[in-house]
Amino acid sequence: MKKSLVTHIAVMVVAVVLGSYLASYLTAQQSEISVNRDKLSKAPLGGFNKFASDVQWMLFINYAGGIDCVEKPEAEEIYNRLNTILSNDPDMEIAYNIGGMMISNSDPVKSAEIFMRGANNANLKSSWQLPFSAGFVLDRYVTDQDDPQRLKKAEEMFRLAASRAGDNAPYITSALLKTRAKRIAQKGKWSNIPVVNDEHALLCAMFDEWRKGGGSEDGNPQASDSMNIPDLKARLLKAAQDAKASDPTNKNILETINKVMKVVSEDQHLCGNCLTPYAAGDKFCSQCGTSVVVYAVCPKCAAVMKGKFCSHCGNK
Amino acid sequence: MENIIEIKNLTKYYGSLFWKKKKPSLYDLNLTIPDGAIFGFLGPNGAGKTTTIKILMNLIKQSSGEALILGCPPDNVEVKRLIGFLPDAPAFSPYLSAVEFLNICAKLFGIPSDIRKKRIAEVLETVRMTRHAKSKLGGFSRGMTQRIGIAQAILNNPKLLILDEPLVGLDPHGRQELKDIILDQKARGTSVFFCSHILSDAEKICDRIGILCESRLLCSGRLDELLSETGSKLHVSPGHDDIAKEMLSAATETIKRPDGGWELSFQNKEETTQALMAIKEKHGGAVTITSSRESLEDFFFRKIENATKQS
Amino acid sequence: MKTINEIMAIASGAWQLLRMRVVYVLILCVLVLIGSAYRYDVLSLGQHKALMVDVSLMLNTLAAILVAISVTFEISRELREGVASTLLSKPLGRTHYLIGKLVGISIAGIVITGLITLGFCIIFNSAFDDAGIGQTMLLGHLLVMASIIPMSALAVMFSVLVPESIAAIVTVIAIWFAHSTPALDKIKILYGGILPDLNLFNLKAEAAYNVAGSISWVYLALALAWGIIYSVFATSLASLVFGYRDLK
Repeated sequence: MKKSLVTHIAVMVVAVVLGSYLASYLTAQQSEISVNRDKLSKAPLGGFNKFASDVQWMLFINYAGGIDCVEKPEAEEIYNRLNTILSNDPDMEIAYNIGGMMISNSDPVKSAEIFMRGANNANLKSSWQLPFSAGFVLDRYVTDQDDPQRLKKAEEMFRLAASRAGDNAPYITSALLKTRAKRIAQKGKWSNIPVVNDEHALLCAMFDEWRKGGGSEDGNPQASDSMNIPDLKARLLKAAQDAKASDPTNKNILETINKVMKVVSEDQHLCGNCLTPYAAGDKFCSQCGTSVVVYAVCPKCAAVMKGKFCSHCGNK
Repeated sequence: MENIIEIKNLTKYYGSLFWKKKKPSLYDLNLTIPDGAIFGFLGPNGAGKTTTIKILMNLIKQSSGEALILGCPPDNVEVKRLIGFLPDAPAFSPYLSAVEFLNICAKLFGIPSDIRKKRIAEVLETVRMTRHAKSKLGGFSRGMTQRIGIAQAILNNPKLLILDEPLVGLDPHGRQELKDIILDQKARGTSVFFCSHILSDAEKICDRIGILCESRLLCSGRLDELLSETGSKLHVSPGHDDIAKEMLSAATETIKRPDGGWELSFQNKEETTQALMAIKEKHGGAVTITSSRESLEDFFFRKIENATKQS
Repeated sequence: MKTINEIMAIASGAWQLLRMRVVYVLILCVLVLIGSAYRYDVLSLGQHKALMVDVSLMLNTLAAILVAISVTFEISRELREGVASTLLSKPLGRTHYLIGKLVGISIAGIVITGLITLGFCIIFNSAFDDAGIGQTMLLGHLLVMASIIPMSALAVMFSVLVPESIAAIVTVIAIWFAHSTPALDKIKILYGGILPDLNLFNLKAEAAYNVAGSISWVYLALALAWGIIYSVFATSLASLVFGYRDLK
């Protein structure tokens, strides 16, 4: 019996040591597999958290179907229900989307918080809708009184959405540029130039994006926040035109346009009045009729002729 | 091996690890059973018979003392290959059929698969349960369950058969069959250790007995030695009432038979023996003298009564 | 070999559960419930696919728990009625008896949960033509099947350690809290060795969303290994106590 006792105890000790080691290893593995494990509700649900969230979700849908409008009290209730659902299943994308949208009007701060929580969830990193909605709510519904950092956050969210959206990006990038412009307008200065109006601010915002992309239409893959904004050069030109049209004599706008065009349209000849590009040999702008400086191009390589010989290929 | 069971100073107190009952269920039991015997372990309810058997089968642990079964301590698993055991209230998994249950038992006994089926059929035939071989054990009556219990006990052709109240629940026919089985096992060289309340049956098949009362062994030994001659009987033929009347005062028991004859019992005393011898000489063919032996039942009750008085 | 034969002989008694008709009726009910999740597309706003996987995992886990608990009734009944005494009077060690019960009920549980998994796969495939059974989904179910082993070991342990009347309820509580280890952060250090951490088998959300590659076969193998190691501990403890216990 004594031998049996010793054997039993020895087996138990070995099993406890091995079991503990393996369990701690597996727990670490599990945290890698399930990145939101620490965010899960601490309620003793016997491991049925997901099922609990599913049931709560259906109850939520049932509740949502029964209300006529979402005012503050309903928003509060919805927010609480969402929190319960998401504490049991932090990866339920639809809950972030539907829930956040439902309360966006009546409680935009909480709505934005819900969307941002979803956007920052590592398991939902393929979703561009969540950061886009977060940016949208922060930009449109949240006020500066609610959150002074709202535009910065909105810009970050749009940037995140754009980085995830791929080909779906055009209207996300538009939203991003507008938010960035709002930030610049809010700041009142851009590169030491006072920003006078929204058009001016948008031009500054676009030029910032151009610079982030290393002056390329495709963005700069090296820059972490660089985006691929299609036709950025054309859009910059359009923004410059709009800015000038908004206040043709404003020196701050003109200075900005000069600064921008010097970089963006280095090899392009633009009408001094309406900033429309004109071709070699043109004497007047085809858009506004203003007299322009005539220039020629090398017949061989099409580079602009600056003297007798082409500075690009040497052709006479 | 000379003795199949050797028990020395075996004591058992029931209770938990921290709390033991003050009164032992078995106290200082010493018992030796030789090989080849049919040993009847007798005693009233609560005497400690089942406790002894359970200690021998390693189902419970003794508080002190030593028990050897087939020369090995009870916790030796291998020795159980040579033992057949029928518990006092056999119970089996109700979802299993008789054959399935016996198959499990056969596997546990290590009976090779090639002879397992045949052996199971044999034991089922022995206990007259072939008809119910495929029936679920849960639906069996007490007697049928008892028969399956016996079947599983003899399945391995045991060297020692331990039966706890084997006759309980069996009809008279079944009791007779079981007695035949026990005698058959003895004929094959199997030793049998069984406890029973049915003293008449025990008397018929046992060659050794032990009586246990209030946790103590009162006596044990060969049955014919324990049930010694306790007196004599005088049988007087009809028409000789005078002879009977002559001895009437000395007799412990007097019976007048319907045919007119007499049967007088006397205790073993010197003067009684002499008087009987004188009558025999005097009346010759009118009388017969036989020796009377105590029945097991009388012996049992006498022993129990004495023990109760002493305690 | 002899030891394996003895264990399997006892195990064959334990998996008699599989011969009970009610088990198959229950499996059918479970499959009907799994299938009914398909009808919840409106009520769940299109989440019925994940819901079906989740319901299947939840019901499979409940089935596994029920099977594991059945062994507490089985062992308690055998001890109470003396069936265990009859078996232990044969050349069978008490440890082998417990291991036999554990193996038997584990096999029964694996078969039952396996049937539920199979049924789920068929239902899911027919309900969602485009979806197909993902590896993560399957691994989620296999983890539930693997969890039968430590759960049965817990059931065996409690059926020996605690009185019969509370063995089943203590087992249920233990299994429940062993699945709720996040709720027990403060004493979590003990989990996995002495206290069971059944949450290691719980990756239901990942399986429900079928997050590709989130659960690996290696993880399953290691979780299974942990289950076996913990079962060794639980069975050793049970056997140690059982060895000193007086039987009816």
